[in-house]
Amino acid sequence: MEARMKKGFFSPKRFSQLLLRDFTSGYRATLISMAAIAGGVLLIAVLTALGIALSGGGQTPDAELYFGLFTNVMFFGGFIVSSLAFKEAHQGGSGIFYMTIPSSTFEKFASKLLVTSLGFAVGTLVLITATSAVSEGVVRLIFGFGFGFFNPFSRTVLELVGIYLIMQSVFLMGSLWFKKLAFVKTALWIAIFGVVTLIVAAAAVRILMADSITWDGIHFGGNASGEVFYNWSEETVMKSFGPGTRGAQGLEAFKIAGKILFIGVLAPVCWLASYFRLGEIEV
Amino acid sequence: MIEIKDLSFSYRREKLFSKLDLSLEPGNIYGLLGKNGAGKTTLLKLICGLRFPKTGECRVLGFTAAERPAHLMEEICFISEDLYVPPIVPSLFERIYAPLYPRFNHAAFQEYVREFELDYAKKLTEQSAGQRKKFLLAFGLASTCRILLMDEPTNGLDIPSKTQFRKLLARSGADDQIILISTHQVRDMENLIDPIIILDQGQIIFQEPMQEASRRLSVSMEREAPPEGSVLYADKTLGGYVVVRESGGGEETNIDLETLFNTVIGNREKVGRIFKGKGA
Repeated sequence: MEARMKKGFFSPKRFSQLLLRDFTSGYRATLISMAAIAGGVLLIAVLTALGIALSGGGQTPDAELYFGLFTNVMFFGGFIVSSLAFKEAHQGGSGIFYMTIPSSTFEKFASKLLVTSLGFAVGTLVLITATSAVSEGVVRLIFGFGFGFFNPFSRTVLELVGIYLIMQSVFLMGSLWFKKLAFVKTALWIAIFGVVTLIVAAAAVRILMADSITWDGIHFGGNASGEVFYNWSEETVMKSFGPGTRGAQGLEAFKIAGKILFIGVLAPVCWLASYFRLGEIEV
Repeated sequence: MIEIKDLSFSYRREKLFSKLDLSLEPGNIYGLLGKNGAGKTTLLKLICGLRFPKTGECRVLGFTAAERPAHLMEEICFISEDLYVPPIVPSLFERIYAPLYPRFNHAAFQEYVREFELDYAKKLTEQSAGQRKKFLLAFGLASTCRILLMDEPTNGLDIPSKTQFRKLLARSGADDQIILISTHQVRDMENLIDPIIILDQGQIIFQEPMQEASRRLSVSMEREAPPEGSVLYADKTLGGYVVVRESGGGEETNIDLETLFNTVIGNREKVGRIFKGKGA
């Protein structure tokens, strides 16, 4: 009975069929997007190199060019793809078709998650690595200099992939919550959430840690001499609290809590909420 | 087995079903009839878990439909009127979706594809609406699911395809299958759907085999219009009137689906009384 129930919750056979479905249903659009990205990378590299060549040595090649392109493609592209992941579930005909596919809610959710998170990140890594290699060859052949090869295994790249995997869970959840314009609406909600969090955090610091703030160093609005204080970098704020004060300890605790929430809590909460939301969708 | 008990459902503030009861047994091709907006499609959606009841329950093959468990979805095929198909060729569709139906009959599917004269090489989205419908019908029939739900299956089919569909449906129905067809095209489904379920104002007002309907109601062709109130239903037709009365217990007369539907819809209470005492 238990085995039967487990099989009902997750079956590798059904899951692989769903993955096959997700990969094949949008393969044409994927190929077109990949071609456009590859062309874009090549064009940007050539134009940038041309600009450097024409400047007559006034500019130096940007060693981070491909890294920057990779970051933009993975984050913007990935968030858009994630926002569209469950679009079919909200529409009349395709919604009926999708929701009646013989598979569990977990299998449906997990297949979309895998494709839009790890699948998209790995796909982007492979695409940018291959395209940048070709582009680098072309640029070196034409201009005699290059930007340096893109290293998909560098620590920074892998860290960025990790951040993408966490953040895309929010957009995946948005695709289940919003029937239309999921990307825009999710981005808007993130912005609103950010502003509210900032206001609450500022108010909390003002109320709870007021006694530990060195007022000469930092004021919410201006310092003692009336000079407006703009530098809110961690270093400056920490310095203003003074070492070992309650404020400094509080800020450190706030940082750790933020990291735990971002790394360990955000994605699982979004996944869980998405899973339950998918189970509640009516067509 | 489909068991609906005390089910209520509404779209926002608009109440559709209130305390609905329905029980469907395997081995039948049920016909679901009703006026526009009666809730036929919604009922099909409730059965396959696409809509959730507000109160009451809808159990299908022992599962709660709204939970959409994989084991239940493997046994339900819903051919909706919307005709959505993914942009892939039929062979790939079969490769992706057929393994998800444990009882899928590939040989039968190939046979249906041949009989419907479907283009197996052309993308489904590039085929005509009729071709798409035939493909989905062929796939649905070949799935041999224990619950086969069809919403207006003959809409958009040409005349030979309708004939073909009737033949295939009559041939493919298994003893452990419940086939439920919602339709307005009653002439297309004549002699195929039985028992008949009629849905009106959120209630099942009629659920009887055609044989019972023929036994309980008598149909005759009369030259003159019958006095109002003396019959259950009268409709002017070529050369006279089709008149439906309560049968006096004489010979069974064949009643066509359209006449039966109009009789039931026009005389809910009288027809209800006539059929209520059938077992006595």
